[in-house]
Amino acid sequence: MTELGKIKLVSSDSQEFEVDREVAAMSQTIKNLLEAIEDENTAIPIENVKGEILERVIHYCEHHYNHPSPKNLTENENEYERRTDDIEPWDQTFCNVEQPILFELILAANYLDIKPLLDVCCKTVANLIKECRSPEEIRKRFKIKNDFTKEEEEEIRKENAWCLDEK
Amino acid sequence: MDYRTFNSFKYTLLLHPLRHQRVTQPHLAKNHVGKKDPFSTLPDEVILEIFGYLDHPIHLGLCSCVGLRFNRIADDYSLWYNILHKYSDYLDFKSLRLNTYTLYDYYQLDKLGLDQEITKVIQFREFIKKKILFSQLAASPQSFFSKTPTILKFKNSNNFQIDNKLLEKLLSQLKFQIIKPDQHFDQIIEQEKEKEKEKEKEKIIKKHKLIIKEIVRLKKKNLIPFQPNPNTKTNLNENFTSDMTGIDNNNTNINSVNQSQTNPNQQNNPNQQSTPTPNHNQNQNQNQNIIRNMQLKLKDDPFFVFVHKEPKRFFTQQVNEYFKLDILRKDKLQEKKKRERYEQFFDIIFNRFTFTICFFLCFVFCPLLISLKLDLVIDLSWIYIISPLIATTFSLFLGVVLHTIFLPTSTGRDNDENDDRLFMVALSLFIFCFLGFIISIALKLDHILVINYSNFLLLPAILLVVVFLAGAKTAFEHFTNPYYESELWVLLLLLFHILTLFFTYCLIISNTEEKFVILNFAFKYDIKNNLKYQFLPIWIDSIIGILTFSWLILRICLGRFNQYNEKEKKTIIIVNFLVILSFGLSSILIYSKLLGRFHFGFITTSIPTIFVCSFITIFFLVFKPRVYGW
Repeated sequence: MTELGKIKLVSSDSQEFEVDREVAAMSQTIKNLLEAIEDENTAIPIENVKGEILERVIHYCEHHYNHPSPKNLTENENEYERRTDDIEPWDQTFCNVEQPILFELILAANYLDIKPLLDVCCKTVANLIKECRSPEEIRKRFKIKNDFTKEEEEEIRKENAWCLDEK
Repeated sequence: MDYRTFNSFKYTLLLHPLRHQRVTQPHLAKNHVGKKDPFSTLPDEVILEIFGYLDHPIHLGLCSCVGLRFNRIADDYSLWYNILHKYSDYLDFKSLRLNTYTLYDYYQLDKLGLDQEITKVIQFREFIKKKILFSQLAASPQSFFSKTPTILKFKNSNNFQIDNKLLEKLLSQLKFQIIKPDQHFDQIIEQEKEKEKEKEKEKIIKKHKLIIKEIVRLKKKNLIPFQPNPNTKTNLNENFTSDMTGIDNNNTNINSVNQSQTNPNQQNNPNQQSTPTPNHNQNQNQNQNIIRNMQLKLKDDPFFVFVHKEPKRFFTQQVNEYFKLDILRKDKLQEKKKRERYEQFFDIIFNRFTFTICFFLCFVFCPLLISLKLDLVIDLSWIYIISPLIATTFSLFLGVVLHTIFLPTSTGRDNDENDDRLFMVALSLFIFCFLGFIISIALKLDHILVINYSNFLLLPAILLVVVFLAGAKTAFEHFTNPYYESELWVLLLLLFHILTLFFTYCLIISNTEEKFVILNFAFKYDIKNNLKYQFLPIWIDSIIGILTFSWLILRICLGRFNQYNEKEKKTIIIVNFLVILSFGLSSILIYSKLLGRFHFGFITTSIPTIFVCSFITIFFLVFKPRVYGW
C-alpha cells in the first residue's frame, strides 16, 4: 500500500516507483490519468518508459517541484525568441548524459508531457547541433545515414549553398 | 485495485487520445534508442521542436542538408517564418542593397573624422564565413571582438556589403579602421546625388518594411490567416485597421509605398497616386482609408504572397543577393564553378613547383650531358659548369621562399598541407643540388679517369622517373577531381620528355657505336652517321618546354590573380619573372658554352622561352582578358 498523497508508477520493465502525487502531476499525462482514476492506490503503468529513464524523470520532477523556477511564468510571451543559452546549471548537469539516454529522456518527456523537461532536453540537442559546422559533422555526431540520392544531394546543396563552406 | 484489473477499455480510452496527441508516429516511440541514429526514434514534431531552438538560419540550412527526414522537417514553414520574423530588422524586404553602406558612406564617415580613432579592421565576409550570429555581434560587439580578433576591410564597394543597423551599432560601440577607397572625389559627389534619390526610395521602403513587420506580428497572433482568403476579407480589414492606426499615425507615405510595388490593383485606388506630404496631423478617416487601400493591395501583391507562402525561398534569395552569390541562376552557377576550378590553382601551386623543378633538371642537365657525350667543344673549367647550376638553384630557391613568404595567407591552405608541400620542394632542391655536385665532380675527374658517362646519365633519368611516379600518385589519388586535370597534362608531358631523352641518348650511342646499358639490358640504335637529326629530339623537347612553361605561367597568372592586392600581384610577377629569367640565363650559358657559340639549343630554348613566357605574362596582366570568368 502506498502512503498518503503518494502514487505508484510502473515502468515498462516493471520497476515500481513511489512518487508524491503533486510531483507526478507535473506530467500532464499522469495528471489527466489521476483525475480519471478514483482509486488512489492504483499503480500507473508508464508503458513506453524504461525504469532507468523513469528514475531520471522523477528525479527531475522532484527537483523542480522543490525548486520552482520563476521563468516558466513569462515563457509564453517570448515565443519567437527561443534561446538555448539560458539552461539552468542544475539542468545542464542533468542533461549532461550520453546521447541515447538524452534522446530517451526526450521521448519520455514527450510521452509524459512534461514541458520544462522536454524544453531543456531539446535545447541541449539543439546546442549539440549548433556545434556542428557542416552536414557531414551532424551526420557523424548523430550517426545519421545520408539517404539522399546523388541528384537530390546536389540540388539541396545548391539550394543551401549560402550556408555551406565554399569548397 | 491493481492496474492489471483496471477496466482495460476505460484505460485505453483514456490513454489513447493522449498518446495520439503527443505521438503521431507511435511505431517510432516503441523503438528504443540504440546505437543507431537517435533521431529515428523521435517523432517529427519533437524534431521540429528541437529545430525551433536553432536560432541562426545557418544551422537550419545545414540540417536540411543532412538527410531526407531532416530536410523535410528543417524546411518547415513555421521555422523559416520565425527566422524571417527575427531577422526582419536585418533583412530589407524589398532590397538589401539599398539598405547597405556604399562608398558615399565612407566619404561621409571620413568627413566626420571617424578614421582618426579607428583601430580595428574587420572583413565582413570573413565573419560571415566564421558563422557568427548577427544578433550576438550586435548585442555585444566589444566582448565578441575581444574574443576573436577579426578584420574588417573596406577595400572597394564591390566586396563590401554591411548591414546599416549593424554598422551603426559597431560605429557607436567600437573603434575600427576604415581604409579609404581608391576613387576620385568627383565620382563620390556624383554618387552623393544619386544617393539622395536612393534615400528617398529607402524611406519609402522602410515604411513598407514597417507595415510588413506589423502584418507579420498580427499573423503571429493568428489574427490574420496566412493566405489571403476572400471569405475572411472583412475580418482581415477590421483587424488590420485597428492595429495599424496606432502605429502608422505618422506614416504619410503609405501610398507611395505601394507605388513601389507592381500591382495590377493600383488602378483601382486613386488615393495612392498622391505624392507624399509631410503632414503629421491626419484625420482618422483618411488614415483608415489609406490603410484599407493598402491592405487590399498587399493582399494580392505577388511579392507579399511570395514572402508568406515560401519563407525559406525568400530568405535564401535575400541571403544570396546579400552575398552576390546569385546561386539561383543556372548560367551564373556554371560560371562560378568554372572560376572556382581555377581558383584551386593556388592551392596546388606547390605541387606545380615540384614539376617546375623537374623541368629545370630536364632542360639544364640533359643537354649538358648529351653535349659532353658528343665531344663537342667543351670547356671543362668549373665555373662554366657550376655557375648555371648555382644560378638556377639560387633562383629556384628564391622563388620558393618568396612564394612561401608572401602567398600562404592568401592561398588559404591548411598548415599541414603547407608543410607537406614545403617538404617536397625542399627535398627536390636537395636532390637537385646533390646531383649537381656529383656531376661536377665526375666532370672534374674525367680528365684523369675514364668514366662511363652513361652511368651518370642514369641519374637524372631515375630522378625523372621518381618525380613522375610521385606526381602520378597525387594525380591518380585525385583522379575524379577536375582540379587536377592540368596535373595529368603535365605528367604526360613529362613522360614524353623522358622518352625524348631516351631517344636522344640512343641516337648518340648509335653514332659512337657504344652500347646503352641499363640494368644489363642492351639497346642498339641503327641510324648510322645521321648527325643531322641529332638535335631533332632536343628541338621537340624545347618546344614542349616552352608550351609547358607558358601553360604554367598562364595558370599562375590566371589563378585568382584578381583577388590579390597590389603588393601580392607584384610579388607574383617578380617571382615568375625570376623563374623565367633564371631558366633562360642558365640555358644560354650552357648551350653557348658547351654546345658552341651560336647553336640550335641557344635559339630553340632560351630566347623563345623568355620571350613567349614574358609576353604571355605581360599580356594577361596588362590586358586582363575575360577568360575563365574573371
